[in-house]
Amino acid sequence: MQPFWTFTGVLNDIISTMFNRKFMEELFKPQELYSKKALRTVYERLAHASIMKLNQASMDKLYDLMTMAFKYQVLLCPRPKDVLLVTFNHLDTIKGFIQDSPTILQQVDETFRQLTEIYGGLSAGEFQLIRQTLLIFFQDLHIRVSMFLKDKVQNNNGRFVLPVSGPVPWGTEVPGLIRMFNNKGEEVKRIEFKHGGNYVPAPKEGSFELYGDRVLKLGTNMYSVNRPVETHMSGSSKNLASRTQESIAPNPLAKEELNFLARLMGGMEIKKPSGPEPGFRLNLFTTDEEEEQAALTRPEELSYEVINIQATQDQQRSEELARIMGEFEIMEQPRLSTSKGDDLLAMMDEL
Amino acid sequence: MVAVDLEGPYEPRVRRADLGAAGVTSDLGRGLQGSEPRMFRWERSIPLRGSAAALCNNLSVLQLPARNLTYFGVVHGPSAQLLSAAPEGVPLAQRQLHAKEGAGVSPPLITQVHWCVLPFRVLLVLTSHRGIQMYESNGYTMVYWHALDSGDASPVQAVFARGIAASGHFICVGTWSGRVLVFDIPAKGPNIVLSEELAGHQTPITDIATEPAQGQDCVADMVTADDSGLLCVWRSGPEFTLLTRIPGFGVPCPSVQLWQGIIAAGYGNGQVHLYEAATGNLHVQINAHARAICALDLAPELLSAGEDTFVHIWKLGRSPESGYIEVEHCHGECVSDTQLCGARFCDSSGSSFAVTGYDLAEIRRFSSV
Repeated sequence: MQPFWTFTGVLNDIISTMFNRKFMEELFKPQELYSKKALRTVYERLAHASIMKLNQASMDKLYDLMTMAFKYQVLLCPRPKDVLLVTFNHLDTIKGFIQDSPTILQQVDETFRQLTEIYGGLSAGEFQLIRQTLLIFFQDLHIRVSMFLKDKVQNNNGRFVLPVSGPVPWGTEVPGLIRMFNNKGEEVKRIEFKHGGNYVPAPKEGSFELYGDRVLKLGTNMYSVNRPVETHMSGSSKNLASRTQESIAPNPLAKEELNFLARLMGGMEIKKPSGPEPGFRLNLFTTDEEEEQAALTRPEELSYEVINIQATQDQQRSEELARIMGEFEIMEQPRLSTSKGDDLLAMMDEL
Repeated sequence: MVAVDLEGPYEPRVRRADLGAAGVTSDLGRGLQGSEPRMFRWERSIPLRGSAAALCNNLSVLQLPARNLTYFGVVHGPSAQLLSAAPEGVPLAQRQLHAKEGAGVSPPLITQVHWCVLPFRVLLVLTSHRGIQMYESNGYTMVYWHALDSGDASPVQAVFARGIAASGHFICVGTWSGRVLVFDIPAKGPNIVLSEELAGHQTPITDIATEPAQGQDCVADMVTADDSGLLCVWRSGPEFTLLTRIPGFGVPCPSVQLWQGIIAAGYGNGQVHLYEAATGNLHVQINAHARAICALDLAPELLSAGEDTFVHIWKLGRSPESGYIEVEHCHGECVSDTQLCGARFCDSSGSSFAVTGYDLAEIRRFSSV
């Protein structure tokens, strides 16, 4: 019997929503770093851009995974410009999922073109500022991800391992050499020193073309090998003060933030399910009970806040946002049993 | 002490127990008078309320030997932390400062915090994406606010101030446009005046270094650095004069130091260059780090810290025959799994230093044994 939903369908819906031209236009506008609340709100909407739904606990877990994975990629970029290569790796993998949909493929290629146009010519200094700003967003997040722990790229305290071996970034020399010159620029002496690492020269530069060998592995599909999906709440963080300050302090700029969100989400075209499809719910835990338990026991300091649209004074804006947000209400429990996260991922690998 | 086995995370306790073996294994150059290898040990860390942000030059240290105190300043993001510590690193008091609010979706980010030692007073300067704030040295009283003019900026350009140094009775602050603002500071009080805007750079300023003028004419006493790697060498005065330009080579120069006519510049490709300030000639090129350098300090040894988790100490000298600048490696330290963002010596003899790292909620201190 044919299932009423297909993986291809779900992926196509999410990807075509994400790469929708209007939405991308908004994303590409010069703007400040999103607040954590704003990003979470946008992400939640994107995650519900198909008939697939998630409960709060699974949504939190998915967001944790995404955040920590992206933090890892940005932190470990050898050169700041490699952030762009990471993005291209993401796009390459996404294109792999939608090879049979030429319309969506074209949307992704168009995004590729825009990225190259806007970011391709930035200087190393500008990329460094971008990377430093992104790292501010991820500061103090130390959620442990079991795949990272197993692969020894993350320590038990939630911090990522920064290896002191391997290839140096493109454009950097292997440390260990001192050269001395005279007034004419001629080398007069050279000595070596032990720098403590175990580095080798960079093999070649990654390609920034539409198609090419990126060389960098960061940003490629973490799930290309079938693995369980687990995150651990890192326990009480020493930096509670710095984190809670962001969510508790009343935001006098809330109106600005809501305006920005309305523009951004207005650009998303969510397909409403037509007809009697009940949708299906994705559970990233092994049982429904485990999911409920996770929701109840999530540490206070790690709970995500979504923008509270009731809090705004602007009546018109509030109504507009309510309309947009209302377009994706969480469906009621379908009668079909929900899939386990692992099974779902296993099935995705078969695509 | 140079770490020799670096597979996986390095537990600090293991390092401490490991001490005793000769740490330094580098070649001592002939040009420098023979010096004993230095060894450092990890001292008690000073906890921070907020972790350090991934910026460059993200640690400022003010020594107050008369009061047996040291002040530390670290940028967290939208706030900066100031704290005072007694010898042995015992924390005493701490205070947070914020950038002044302005229009925008989120609170403005601070780019740097730095104590400026002037002839008659010490001021604390804080630069952000909105402007420049100056406080009395303990951070309690704001004495001056300068809002940045973003007039010329295109919408895609970030507007900010960055790069802070004291030169005589002036405080120089760099900006996103490449302009360096020179503020005239009175001996006391808030009557601070913007006296000059220096043109020399076309890309955002990263760092400024100064040293007391030697009393002779034409002696360079200030160096400014920018995102393109260009260095401008200046002579201070009622008006500042541009003496030399040292071109970049495609990578930013996030950190620069000036001492006894020697310019030390750290670059985004991990190299440290030493130039003769008087001529602008490159005399030493060190392949020092495997990632971008984030901070330098000079006192009289050179301290370099990089995003590769390493701190290195270098001894500077001059060849007895030619007089050219020479350097040798003294010591290296690995701060495991920490992308460093700030480093400073904590005393004038260079026998102790401190570092900060991204996501690290403490100041790590080392002192020589």
